[in-house]
Amino acid sequence: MNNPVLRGDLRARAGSRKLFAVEVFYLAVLGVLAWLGMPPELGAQAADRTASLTTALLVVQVVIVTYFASACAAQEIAVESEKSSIDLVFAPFAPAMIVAGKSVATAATVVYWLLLGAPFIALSAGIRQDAAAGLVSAGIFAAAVAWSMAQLGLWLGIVIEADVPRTVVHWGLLLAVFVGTLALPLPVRLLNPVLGIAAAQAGALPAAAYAAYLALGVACDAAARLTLRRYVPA
Amino acid sequence: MRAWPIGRALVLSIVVCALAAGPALAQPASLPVTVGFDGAFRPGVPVPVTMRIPAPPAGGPAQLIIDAPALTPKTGRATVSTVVPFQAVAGIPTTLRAPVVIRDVRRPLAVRAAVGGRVFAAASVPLDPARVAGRLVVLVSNVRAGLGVLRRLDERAVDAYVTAGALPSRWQDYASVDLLVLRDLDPARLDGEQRDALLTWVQLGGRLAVIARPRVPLPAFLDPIMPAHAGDAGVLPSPADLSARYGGALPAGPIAMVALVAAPGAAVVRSGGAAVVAAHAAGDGYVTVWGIDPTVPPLADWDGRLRLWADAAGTPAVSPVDPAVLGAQLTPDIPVDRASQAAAGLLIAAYVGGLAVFRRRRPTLGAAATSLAAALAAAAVFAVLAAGARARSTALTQVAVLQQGRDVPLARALFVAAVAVPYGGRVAVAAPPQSAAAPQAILGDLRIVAGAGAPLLTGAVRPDAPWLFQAVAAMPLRASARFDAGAATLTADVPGGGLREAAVWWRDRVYPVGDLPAGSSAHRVSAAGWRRASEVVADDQAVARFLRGPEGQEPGPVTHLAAPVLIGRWPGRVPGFTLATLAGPSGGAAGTEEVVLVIPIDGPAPRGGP
Repeated sequence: MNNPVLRGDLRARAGSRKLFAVEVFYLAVLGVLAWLGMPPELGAQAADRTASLTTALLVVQVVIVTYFASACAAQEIAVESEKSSIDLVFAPFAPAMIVAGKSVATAATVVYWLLLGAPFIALSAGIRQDAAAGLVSAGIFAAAVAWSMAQLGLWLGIVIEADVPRTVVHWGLLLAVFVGTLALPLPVRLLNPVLGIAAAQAGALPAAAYAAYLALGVACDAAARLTLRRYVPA
Repeated sequence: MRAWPIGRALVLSIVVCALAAGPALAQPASLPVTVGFDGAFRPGVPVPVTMRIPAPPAGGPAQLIIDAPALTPKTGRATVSTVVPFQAVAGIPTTLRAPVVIRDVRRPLAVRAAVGGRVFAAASVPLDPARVAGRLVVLVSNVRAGLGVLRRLDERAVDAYVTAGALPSRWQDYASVDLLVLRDLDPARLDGEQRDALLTWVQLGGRLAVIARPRVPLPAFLDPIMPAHAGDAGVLPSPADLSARYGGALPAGPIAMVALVAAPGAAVVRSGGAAVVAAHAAGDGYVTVWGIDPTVPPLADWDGRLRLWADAAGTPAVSPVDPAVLGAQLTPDIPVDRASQAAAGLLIAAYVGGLAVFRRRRPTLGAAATSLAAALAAAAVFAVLAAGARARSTALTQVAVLQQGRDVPLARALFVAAVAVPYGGRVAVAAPPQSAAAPQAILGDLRIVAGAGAPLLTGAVRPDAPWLFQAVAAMPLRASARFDAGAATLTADVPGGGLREAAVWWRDRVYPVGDLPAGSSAHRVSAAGWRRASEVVADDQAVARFLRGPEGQEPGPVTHLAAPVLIGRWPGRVPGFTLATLAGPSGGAAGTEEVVLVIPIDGPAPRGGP
């Protein structure tokens, strides 16, 4: 908490009405899904659908959290009183401090949102006796995906100044990750967040998938730092 | 100047990695494993698997795990893991035996022993197709010879030569054995459990042959079931008597024999006045004593020994019920817990609404931390709600068929249970104490913890299909029935609460007797009261539905029994399957259970009919 950028972002996000609305929307969606999924699936079904509701909740969770985390970082959603990275360079703060502060603030937000949704996961997983280890793995993978995509958004927010092109690129990259990865061959296809969540829940997701997203996030942080240096007055 | 610290760090890292990787890379020791009896086994029934575990590297709680592959109808392959907990003592090897049901003979068993979660011994045990038995004869002998003739008796017959130490400690592990022959059995090498297992197996239907040898006493612990005891040793006085009885000319020269002193009622074959073969029923089983030895020369070349073996082996016993039919008749009611759904709806609304109101009023970092704590508390509440909803929606339905042993205070109990969980997922079921339990149909991976008490079965159940298990146990019970000389009066002695919907079943006919009181009672059986079995089993509510055959509505194997039986619904309680928590058998059973009692009827069989 020694990082002033981190402190400022956390305060801004805690008091933001927009993020409050995001949280209520997110919890309402998860709550409705969890409640509608409570009645047992009594019809005959394929064997691979036995744990579908919990997986579906986790997938919805990762989609919502990833989008809103990256949209906030890319300034597609402007959080009230949260300074952009470029503004902070002229504050002046060091690029490393800015990136570290933004990165940790995003990670805290992602974990916070995932934990807010935990009661619905507990309801669904508890009623179907899904393994806790699989849920933890899926949660960690969801956090890794959301954080790394948010770091990508952070870099986009620095490197593309115009709002519309940045939004288009942001959505394009989200589609590439959530849809485009489905076209990859196995086992690389497991990088797809939906497939990855299911695999993580089943304990079948290789550690390389977690590492790939963490590496993406770190690389985006490094790129953001390098890009910010251009704005540092000589 | 900076090279040295970096170099030292590199060397240190390599050493640390090597130390850490060393134990992980260590190969587990080999683990000698014997499947079944001398490698012979029958698929689909429990067979003993004996493992000689090498000295563990450390002491403490340890596990032996046997993974038996199985085929499933929808998912293809599954594994049934049998787990045997044991206490490891560092540096001390031990031998363990566990019952395993082999379902896929094409793939090997995987066996591993672990202490503290670390595997220290492992083996992959391929199964020899030549040792898959249609009929299995086991000879306890120091000589590995004499059973070759069995293939002439039945081409599917497989022989096995074992020593006393290989005999099972649980009677259910004899399930694959058609005939056990004791030739060189030193009773001192059998412990109490092995002796009890052998006696129980015979009394509940096993077939035993004992070869009396000169100057070797017969095992005294078998006295309660023996048809004869050994007399004087000598030379067979009249080989022609044996030729006349069993066929084939006996080899020339003196043949050693032990004259038998037969028990009253035993069937005896004599040679020149000396009893050389004696046999009688022992409970539901059959015991034969030979005063001659057909496993070694000169009688090992005698053609007549084939009939001698055939008489001892008999024909496979018929069970009055088909376990698969019992499973098919169990239709668990799946209660959907509407109250839990309503409660969940209210709690979800309260959580989302409460959080929204709270965060709206206090948009601070501290409030966010409080929200996080509330979320964790809500997760715990929702987990408890989920566990309750799941428990209330889980149904266990079971039927127990108690087959009273003839003239012994013992019954063979077959339990078949169906567990339905509409939500699917993992479930744990505790089998009856001291039973041999197995899934009736493989729906997926399953784990059986074979502890000292009740086996615990855990696995993932599908939401759209009940999970079927079966277990076999012996339980003390004394019930009897007898026809009088003219088969006109049935006298029944039933323990507990009597017998409901009782009926006499004999071939394709059924004589309904009605409800029998506890204790002894007599009932007139008139020739006009008999009904066709096919009519009786058609009733979907009657206990007779459990006696159907595997195909449709026709009566099943009950019509092929060698003697009439009295069958009815027994109101007594038996310790059956129970729902359990994943940690152990502490859950409560839900659903229904029925107990069917099958009592063999002594005396002449009735001749009346429709």
